[in-house]
Amino acid sequence: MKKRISIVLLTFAVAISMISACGVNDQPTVDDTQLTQVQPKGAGDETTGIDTSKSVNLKMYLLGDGAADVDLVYEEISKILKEKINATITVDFLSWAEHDTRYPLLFSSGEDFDLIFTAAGWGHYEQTATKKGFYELTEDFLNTYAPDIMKVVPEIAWDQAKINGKVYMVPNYSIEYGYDVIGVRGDLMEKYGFDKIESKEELEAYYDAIVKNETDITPLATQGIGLQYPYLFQSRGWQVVRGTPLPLILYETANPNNTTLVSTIETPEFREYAYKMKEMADKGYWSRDSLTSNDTRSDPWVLGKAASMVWNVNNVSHYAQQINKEHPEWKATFTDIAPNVKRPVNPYTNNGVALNAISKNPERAMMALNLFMTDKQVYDLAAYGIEGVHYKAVGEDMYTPLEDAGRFPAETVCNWGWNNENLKRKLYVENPDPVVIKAQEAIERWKNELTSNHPLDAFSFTEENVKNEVAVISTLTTQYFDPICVGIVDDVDKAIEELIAKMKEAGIDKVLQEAQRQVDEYLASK
Amino acid sequence: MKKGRTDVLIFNITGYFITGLVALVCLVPFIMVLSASFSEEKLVLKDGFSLLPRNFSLDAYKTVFEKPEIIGRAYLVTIVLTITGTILGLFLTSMTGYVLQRKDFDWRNRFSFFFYFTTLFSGGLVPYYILMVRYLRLKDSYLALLLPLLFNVFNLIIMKSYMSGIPVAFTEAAIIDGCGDFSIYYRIILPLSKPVLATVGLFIALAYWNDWYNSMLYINDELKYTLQYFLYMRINNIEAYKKIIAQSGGQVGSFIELPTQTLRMALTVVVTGPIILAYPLAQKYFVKGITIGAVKG
Amino acid sequence: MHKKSCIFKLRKYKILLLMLLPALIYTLIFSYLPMAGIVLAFKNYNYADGIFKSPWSGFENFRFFFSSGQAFKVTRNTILYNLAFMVVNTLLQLAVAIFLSEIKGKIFKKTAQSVMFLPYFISWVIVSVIAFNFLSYDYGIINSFLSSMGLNKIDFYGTPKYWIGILIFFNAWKGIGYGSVIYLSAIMGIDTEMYESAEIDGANIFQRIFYITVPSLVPTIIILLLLAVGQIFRGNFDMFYQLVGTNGILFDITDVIDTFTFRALIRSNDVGMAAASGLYQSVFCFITIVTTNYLVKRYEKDYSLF
Repeated sequence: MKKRISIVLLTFAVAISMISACGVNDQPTVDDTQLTQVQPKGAGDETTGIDTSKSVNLKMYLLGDGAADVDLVYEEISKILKEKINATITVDFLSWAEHDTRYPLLFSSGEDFDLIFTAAGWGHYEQTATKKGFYELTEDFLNTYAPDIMKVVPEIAWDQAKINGKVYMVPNYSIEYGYDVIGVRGDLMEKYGFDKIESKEELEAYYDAIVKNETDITPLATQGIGLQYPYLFQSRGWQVVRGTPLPLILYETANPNNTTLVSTIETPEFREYAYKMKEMADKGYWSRDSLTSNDTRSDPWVLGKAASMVWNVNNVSHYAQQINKEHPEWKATFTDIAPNVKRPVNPYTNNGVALNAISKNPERAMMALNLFMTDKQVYDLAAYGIEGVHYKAVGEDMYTPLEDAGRFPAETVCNWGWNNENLKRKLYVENPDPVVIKAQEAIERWKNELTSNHPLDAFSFTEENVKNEVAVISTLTTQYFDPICVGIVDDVDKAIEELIAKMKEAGIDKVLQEAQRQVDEYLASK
Repeated sequence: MKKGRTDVLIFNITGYFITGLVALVCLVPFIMVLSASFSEEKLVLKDGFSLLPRNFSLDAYKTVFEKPEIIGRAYLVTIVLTITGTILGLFLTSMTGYVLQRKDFDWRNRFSFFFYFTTLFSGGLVPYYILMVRYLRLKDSYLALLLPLLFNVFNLIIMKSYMSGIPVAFTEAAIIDGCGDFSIYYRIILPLSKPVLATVGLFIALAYWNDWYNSMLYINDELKYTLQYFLYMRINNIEAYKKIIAQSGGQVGSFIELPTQTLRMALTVVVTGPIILAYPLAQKYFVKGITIGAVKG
Repeated sequence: MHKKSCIFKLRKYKILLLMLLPALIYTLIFSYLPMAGIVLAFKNYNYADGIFKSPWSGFENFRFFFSSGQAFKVTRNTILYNLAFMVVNTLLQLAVAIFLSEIKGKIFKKTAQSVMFLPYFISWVIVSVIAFNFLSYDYGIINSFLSSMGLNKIDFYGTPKYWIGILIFFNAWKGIGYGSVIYLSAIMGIDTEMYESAEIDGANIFQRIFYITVPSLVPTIIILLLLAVGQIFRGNFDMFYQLVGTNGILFDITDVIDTFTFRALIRSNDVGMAAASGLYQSVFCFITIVTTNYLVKRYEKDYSLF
């Protein structure tokens, strides 16, 4: 009896599983495209309850020089948008040479557009938001019209985007580290007996060897940006408080318990650093004209005039690859002089998109942005171009550029505003340069072990209350701070005294107090 | 007579020497730019500028002219704009200048002040832009390129100053003959003002030729861009690069495609090239001296 | 009585006024209308309210400039440089114009004139690169020359005191073509009869120049100087910013109002503060030129600007 029942049950179970298995294979996957295809054109979207019956033309402003096939690509994007949200989109560019002047004018003159790229610090975010140029993005609004974005963008990003408690941009979701590494020459390291450079001392020894033995190569070409970021705070686990004048106010990102802000120039570490830099400058580690130099940050290293460069890991590995193509014997690579210190992820507000406060269709614009950021088809188009024309997909998460890639180069046409880690494609290279692998491994390691987790990583300072002090301080940094940072001063102590005196006169204490006040308020509200 | 010869000799030696020196100092940097434009980028970056091209290369020019249709079109726009603007501007400026230097016009100083005052006070770019774009609706219009440079006070004052130096004898005869104000201006003063017309005409033409700013502000339609807009945009990219680096603490900026040094040099040469020919043209009108004898005749 | 003469004058000047009309309208629209935007200096501007409805902020926008401790220094620099430029440029351009008008060699004259115009076309961005090539310490042309002669190198970018001369030089260099043309055209307008009678009287060339040419140019010289005086509180931003760049060591000597304001507002891009700085310059320029013009008028009525 039991045996028969079990056989029947077993057969039954197998039958059901076979049927369901077949069923899964045969049923098409339900997705948005299906839903809207089923509905007649012009009807409201029943799944979300949003009325998309009116056809809308959206306009977006992006930064940069665009690309030859922009119109082509955005036509394709418009097709998808038309299907899904009954909207089309056109794009206009503010080139690098003009965005500073034209960006604010777009708002002053009340130009009619809907979306615009923005970024904290360098992309007019704070300035436009405080002048009421952007549309306020409330939680309700975002949840209604951009539910997918809400699932992707991390909580901390929204915090970073807050100005006086309100959010005005959608930050991108891209995990990048601004932490500086040092690009170095493998061949020179070998020549002078360095198998690794993983501390300040080793770096200085490397520089020393170069300066003593190489006539045509300087250790570092600074262009005014020397070793201050690595030495002054990165290698010690500190970070600049976002929104404060660089790099004068620091917090200890590696230690979540320490929330006291510190003024860089008054720390003993700064004085130590200043002495060391003067020593290096006097020894000839870099040109006396560093403050004026017209060189870019990378050219001297790439051309072989300098033995190292300082920048973040993505850029350094990019230039290292360039070097290795032309001069494989130089064995360009990079090194981290503080490989075990915690470092923060770049603020997500480094790239983002905002809505125009006077946009006529903010809801539809938000829905469009929702698609840009989370819909694989749209994302691929905006980032990589048209499949088969500009790039070839390699699997789900990689790509190779095709012949026409120059007409729409990957990830160059200002798509960074809606970067999405989950949808990004990696460049597929058959034999990647070891530097590339090293960089990827480094970033992985940082993601897993070394990302700092400090409450202030999400905090942004607003300078409204101290804007005059900040303005004056901005004039002083170039004059009194930068020369000390590259050691081009006659008397270090005197220079520091003068710097501190001028800064105090300008009101740096007031700014520090205001920052601490905002920080305390922010922490208390959590 | 011997006395005459030595002083002319001294004068000539000093004259040729000084003007030659000045000309040389003006020429050498330009030659360096020219040489760099014909050089190989890497060598320029490594070894700097020189009088002769380093490793002759046309790469920079190839890039400048890589889209000949665009450059050709931009050239056309610029040339038409310059010619139209110069003619209209000259007419406007000279007419106004004439009126303001008439010694029998009692209100001339008040009107002069009216014009001059605008060089002292200005509302800045924002209100000007709003006026042009919102109220005059000149976005993407050729007028936005033509109007701003048509008339300016500096040219007006030069014109007025020159015209006031024309001896009254010339106009007296015409007044006796019953000529009206406009006729005097048109038939007598203008022909006598060839040098200043050439000068101010040259200035106006140069202003139009060099203008990229107005294109940047008001034009979006690619077909309407002037030559300078294309060229200066690429030269100025590097400023944006530096500023973004400074503002973001070095975090951002790697994606900006920077023009190479040689490209910027080639752009400068292309920008200068044609207009430098306009100068000899203007020189034709620098006819020395007015002879009062002409009036008597 | 007054009213009658007004109408009388209107009729008398009818055509002249008509001839003035186009320029008047032009100036009204393009210069006077936007001038209203000066209020931005006193407002806390935001896009929603626009220029006229934004809230007033009194003298708040001026505070950054005057509380910086650098207001005097940058103002002083601006004025002194402009004075130096005025003197050097006038003398140089005058000399060049006179020489060019008297020298006989036609080809030399035409070539020299054209060549002198070349600097005008080279944007300051490029000039700064060329200057760096000449002045840099390590491989600059001047220093390479000096060390090849066994002499000590000069640290141009590290020594502020050289920059007064360097800036004056570059300013003169850039404007020589433009400026000398104005004087040249004025010389062309001098009545040749005066020269002829001077020749007959046995004057040598130097006497001709000093007793005829220069005096005839005095009105032009004065007008150009007045125009320069009217801009004496404004610095040539492009030149100072490109040549000096971010080399803070030199700022005490080379910082002018415009570069200072630029640096102060580099982060905030605050329209109101920029307008305030501009207004400060405008007001002082106004006071200066009105006073100077009045003094010139007392000396010789026809030489004045207005």
